[in-house]
Amino acid sequence: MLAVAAFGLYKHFGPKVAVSGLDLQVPEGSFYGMVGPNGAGKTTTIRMLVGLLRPDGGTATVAGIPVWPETRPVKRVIGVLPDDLRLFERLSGAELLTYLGLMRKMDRAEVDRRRDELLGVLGLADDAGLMVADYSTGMRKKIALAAALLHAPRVLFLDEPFESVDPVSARTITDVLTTFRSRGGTVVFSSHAMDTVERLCDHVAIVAAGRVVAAGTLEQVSGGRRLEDVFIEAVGGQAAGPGTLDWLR
Amino acid sequence: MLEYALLGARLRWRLTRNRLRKGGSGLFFLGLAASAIFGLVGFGLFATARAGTEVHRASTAILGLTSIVLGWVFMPIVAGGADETVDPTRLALIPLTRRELGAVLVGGAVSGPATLAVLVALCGVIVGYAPAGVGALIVAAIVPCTFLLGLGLARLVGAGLARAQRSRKGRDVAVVVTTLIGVTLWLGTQAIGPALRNADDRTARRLIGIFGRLPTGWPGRGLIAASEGRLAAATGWLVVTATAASVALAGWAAATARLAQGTERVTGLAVSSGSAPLGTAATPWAAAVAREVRYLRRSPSKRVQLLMTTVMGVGFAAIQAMGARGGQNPRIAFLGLVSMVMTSGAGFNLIGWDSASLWVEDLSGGLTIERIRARALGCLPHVIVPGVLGVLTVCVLTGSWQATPLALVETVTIAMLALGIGAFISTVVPMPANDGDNPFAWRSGMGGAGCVTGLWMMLGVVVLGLIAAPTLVPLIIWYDRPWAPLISAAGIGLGAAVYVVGTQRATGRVAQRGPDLIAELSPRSVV
Repeated sequence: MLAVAAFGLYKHFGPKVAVSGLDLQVPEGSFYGMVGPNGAGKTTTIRMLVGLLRPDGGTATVAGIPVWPETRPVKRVIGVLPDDLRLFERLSGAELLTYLGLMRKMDRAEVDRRRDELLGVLGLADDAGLMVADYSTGMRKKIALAAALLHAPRVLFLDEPFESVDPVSARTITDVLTTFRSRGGTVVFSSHAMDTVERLCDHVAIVAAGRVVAAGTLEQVSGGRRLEDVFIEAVGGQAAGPGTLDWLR
Repeated sequence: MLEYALLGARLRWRLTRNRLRKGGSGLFFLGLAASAIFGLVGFGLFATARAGTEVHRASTAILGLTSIVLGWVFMPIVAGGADETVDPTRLALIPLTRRELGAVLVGGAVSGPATLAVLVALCGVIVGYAPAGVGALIVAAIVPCTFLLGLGLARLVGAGLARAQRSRKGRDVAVVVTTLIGVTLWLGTQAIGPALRNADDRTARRLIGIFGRLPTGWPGRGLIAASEGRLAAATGWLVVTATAASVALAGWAAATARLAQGTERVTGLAVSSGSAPLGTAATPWAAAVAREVRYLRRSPSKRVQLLMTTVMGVGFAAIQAMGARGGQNPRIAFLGLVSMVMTSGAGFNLIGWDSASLWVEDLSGGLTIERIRARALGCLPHVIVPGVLGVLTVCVLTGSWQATPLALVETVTIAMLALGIGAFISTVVPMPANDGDNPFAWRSGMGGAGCVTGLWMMLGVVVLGLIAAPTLVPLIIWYDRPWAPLISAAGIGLGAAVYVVGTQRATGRVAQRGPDLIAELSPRSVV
């Protein structure tokens, strides 16, 4: 059973093609890493998969539900942690979770219970009354993760969840994600950090120029080598030659 | 130093050019045209002062120059003219001395079209006030001194605001104080003209005396003294103006140095206890309303909007009441409702406001009817408070209270109509409006989209008037009949119906359009 299936996804912004016929199959219950250089189309792909960005072509299903054209059913079963997006900045962390829970028509008592537990697990209980605008980058990631988990989604999409996050917060996020997966959830996340992907993921896709250039289990893709070497080989690396920047002392 | 000043000027023009390339050409050319018109009108006003009476010459010199300097200080702030060259922190990593940094910033500051327009306007005083002989030199010297005084004060206030914005509390205080000062000055300019036209010379002289005592009035006093041949007095006013300009510029330099070296302060303060977030809200509707209530308290944009609509609306109504004939007619209470003409547009951009977080709503159920209605209700204070205070102000000024209750009830009707019509128009031409800590900054540039939204707002106000007329006009005519409250009740029913239908239609129009609205209003979140 596939948690996510995308075929021929295509998106362009003016003359720039961001995603060019991307195919992706994410097994249910997997920890799936999408790696790729900046501008490879990872974020655009995730936003099309979660129904925030209308694709110009292709099809996608999440948990067996078609994402497009009617996006509401999919949004009931997914959680999303985007990269560098505004939340409701003038609500406190606790208010944000309460608001989103009630908006999803959850029972207030259940919202309160889940909210307090998430804030505690993510180490935000002491800062629950602070406005989100006053949160640090790590705290923002964690409150966004709490918001993504509040309604117990089946598939979790995370865009660069560990970017600009300190090791302590990264460990907390990792623990929560591992717990989520152990309860049968599927995690799809994009990252530049190869060691994190190697450590967490059982499946991986390398994305370059809007296409998947390699995909499968971690072992299949890496073939016993370091994922970073495979990645650089797949997307093409550029090294500074011996004569360049020789004015640097 | 000159090369650094030229560097600042080039930086200013390069930023302007880049903004043009980004798509803000409509707004830019509008600003350019407004600057040119301002410069030429100002030049003409000062240049023709010679032909006027003594009082006219004095008021033009003192009130005219005061308006220019104060306008230079506050207009860019209130009108959202964020200027990146003001911010020295962007140059903090470049090893410039204090003087070099100052030269870069002065170069940037004096090279904008609005600044050149001020210089053109000021040159008009040479034509209008310069006598023959040495007095002409004094008048000519007053021009650059006034220019530097305006420049120094404007940049000093700008730097002070930038510094205040490093803490949330400072930001909040700064935006509120600046808004009040700016709007009060605007109202002052609206009131002083008619007051001068209607007043006798004694009243005019009193106003001139008051404004002449301010530093912004000193160059005007120098002009008058020079034109009357009192050279010693003119020289004295020239010296104090130059001193004031020097103090302002030195203050700017000091504030700039502190800005360049300062660091961001930690400012987070708990805004709610963790025990009952969003109070007792237990339904989507209650949660949506609770969010709006909190945003009313916490969002600088919301607070500034409320302040501006209230002060402008009430001030506008007060000016109309003071100028109206028949002040003893009880019907004049309804004149207070004109304040709502200026403020009813507050709810005409419900979708575009804070659109950067639209994705959160889209993922958690979309823009439902609860959210649309709560957003509309969140604008209620902005619409109704100016109306209520406008009616009361008119009644206080005229002493007519007989129709006050009915006029107050009518504010509810107009508010409901405004929110219903506004909700619908919000879905037709939504415009991204940032809910940042600085409500005066439009970092993305509007590219003229605001003009289209503004036209729709004007259309909305006209439609509002047409819908309100069938109950409002009879109410004004028959306010003293025993059955007049029935007309009021009918009006409230009409307003409620428009609110319900307007929000329903608005919800229908945005249903299933979440991704498209996000792409249109918050492209940063999808690209």
